[in-house]
Order: sequence, then structure tokens, then C-alpha cells
Amino acid sequence: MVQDTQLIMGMPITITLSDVHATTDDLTTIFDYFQHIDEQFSPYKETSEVSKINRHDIVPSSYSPEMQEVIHWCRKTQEETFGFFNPWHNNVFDPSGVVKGWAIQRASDKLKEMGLPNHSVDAGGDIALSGHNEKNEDWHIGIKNPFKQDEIIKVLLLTDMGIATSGTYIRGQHIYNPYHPDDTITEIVSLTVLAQNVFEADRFATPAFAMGRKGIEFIQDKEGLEGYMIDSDGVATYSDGFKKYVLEETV
Amino acid sequence: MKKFLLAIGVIGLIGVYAIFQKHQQEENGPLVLPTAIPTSTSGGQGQPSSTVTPTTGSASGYKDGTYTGPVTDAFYGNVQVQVVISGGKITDVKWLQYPTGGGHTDEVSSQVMPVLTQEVIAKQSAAVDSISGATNTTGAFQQSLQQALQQAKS
Repeated sequence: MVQDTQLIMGMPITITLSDVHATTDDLTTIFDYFQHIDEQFSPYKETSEVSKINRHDIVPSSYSPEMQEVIHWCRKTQEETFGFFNPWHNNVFDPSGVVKGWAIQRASDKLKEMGLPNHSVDAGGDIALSGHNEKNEDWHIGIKNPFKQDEIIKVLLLTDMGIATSGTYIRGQHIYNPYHPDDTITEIVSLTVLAQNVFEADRFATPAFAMGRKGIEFIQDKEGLEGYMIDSDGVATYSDGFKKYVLEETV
Repeated sequence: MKKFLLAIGVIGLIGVYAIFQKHQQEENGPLVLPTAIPTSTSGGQGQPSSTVTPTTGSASGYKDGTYTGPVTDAFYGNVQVQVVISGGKITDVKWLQYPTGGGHTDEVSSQVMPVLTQEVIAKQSAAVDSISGATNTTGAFQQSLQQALQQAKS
């Protein structure tokens, strides 16, 4: 197994390769890819394509193919979440909510193309799981206790899936309801979403979180998604299909 | 004791608190999960509750059956749980009452929880490959945490 963590896009990215022939060069290839995504999509970097778009330095016809793909997904996600995902807030284009999961998924796809089907790519707690871990088991993924950072409150067994968690508990209120921007979301503290890939999980986790308690119903109703929501009383609500991924600790 | 703590991971802390408190009232004995909670006396607040007769025993120390805890005053409202033991394992936890915040307690009804199941979160101790949680972009803290966790695994 080879594994490393680097801080890119403002978050720790951990890549774990469990294929025996994997090398540290393979890790470097993927970290370089994330650096490239950061250069292109960071809203904080003057030289990024996103910043150029916001300064109107480039016209839509000259957007890169990657940017056009991201914008397509931004529109689609905005529509599918009834506007709870809005990358054009206050006339500033910020596709970060889509880019993160998209980049993780592309990194995972890249690893498969490189002949490394057994891996996990974890970017700030949103994770692509492919194949098996070093012990040839499904990946064991913990859900963090939103009230206690060093504790996990659920263990899931996942393979060829993605997981993403949205919450207010670390940065405070960084997510808002676009229809009531001044309301703070206090009734729920964490929403974990499972999907067939991390891109699907990630692009819905934050908008569903912004829906408050309704978020878990949105996840429940959305084909292919499962969810685990924790409210401010420490009571969790989960979708019908969630439980089959839970590792029951032996009594 | 450790086995017991693992067991409560499944039920949820408050659920166990409810049963455990009752259990202590009943027996004041060693830490073994309820054989059955009698319908008789109720110490303190809340109503005593009915019990399905346990059927078979098992190595886990749990007897199969459905157990209902007393109504217990959690600090933010009343809690009452029902635990189903099957094959010596906890197979289901139902919330008969649960707090909704602000000191209110709702009787559980179809209006409150139409489809989705609820549980109180509880610490798990199994080893994991990774942890999913909300992103902290003040990266240093999380990086140090993640690396500490990685060390703890290796």
C-alpha cells in the first residue's frame, strides 16, 4: 500500500493505493492533477479560469472543455436542487461546490485508467472508494461525530461508491439557505450522502444540507442517493437504503 | 464492561441511558443488559412500560425479545426507546418518544417520522480506513488530525 496526504485546494487530500504494484510516482501523478484543478478552478487565484470569467477576460466560446463540463453540471445541479445549489450567487461565479467532487471522481477514474482499481481518494472528508483496501476488504469508512472531532459514530463498508458529508460544525455557518440567506441553519449539524460515485454524493450533500431537516427527504426521494442526517440534539435520521452499508459492531 | 459498551454503540447513548437507569433501579447489580423490564414500579418521572416476554437466551447475554425502556428525562426532553433483540443481537431500536429540541417532546407519529428511521448517535470503535466529515478549510488543524489518525492506524 502507498499513501500520502497533501494540502491542496485548501484541504488535506489523502490518496491510498492498495494495489501491490502501486508506486509513489502514481501518487505524485494524482496530486499533480489536483494542483492543476486548483490552478484552473480556484476562485481565489487571480490567474485561474474562474477568476478570468469573473473579470470577463474571456468569452464563453473560449472556455476550456473542462470549464464547459463544470458549467453544465452547475446548471444541472442548480435545477435538480431547486436552486439550493447556486454557483452564480451575487453575480460571482463560484463552481467550487461542483468542482470538488468532480475532481475527486476524475482522479479516481484516472487511477483506474492507470491500472490501479483499488484505491481511495479523500479530499477534505469527501471520498471516492474503488475496489478494496489493503486487506482486500470493502473500505471501512467512519462518519465523524459532529459534536466530537476525534470520534466516529458510524462505520460503513463501501466499494465502488462515493461518500460526502456536509455540515456547519467546523467552520460555523458557511452554508446558507439561498431563499432565506439570513436564516442560520441550526436544526441540523451534519448530512452524509452516499452515491454510486463521489461526484453524485458531493454535489448533493451541501445543497441538501442547506434544506435543513427536509434535506434527508430530498436524499430519500432522489434515485441512487442514501443519507444520514444528524440534528442538533444528536438524533440521526437515515434513508431507507442506508442501513445495508453499516457495519454492525459485534455485541 | 467493554462488551456492554460496544453494545450500547448500537442502541445509542440515551437509549441505553434509559434502559440502564431503569436496570440499575431494578437490580443495582452487575452490568448486564436487561433481561426484561418489568411493568411494575417506576422510579422518578415517566410511565412504566410493557414488555414482550423474552424467548431464547444467547451467548451475548441478551435474551431475544422486545424491551421497552421507561420514559426518561434527557436534559432536553423526554426519551423512550424500544429495543428488539433477535438471535442475541440488537436488531432494532424504535423511538416511542424523542425530544425535538427546545424542551419539547413529541409522541412519535406518522406525521413526525413517516418513513425514515431515527437513532441517537453513539461512538463506534471499529478501525477505519478513512473518515467522512465536513471540510475544514483552515487546513492545518485537519491535516494534523488526519495525520495523527493515520499514525494511529499504522
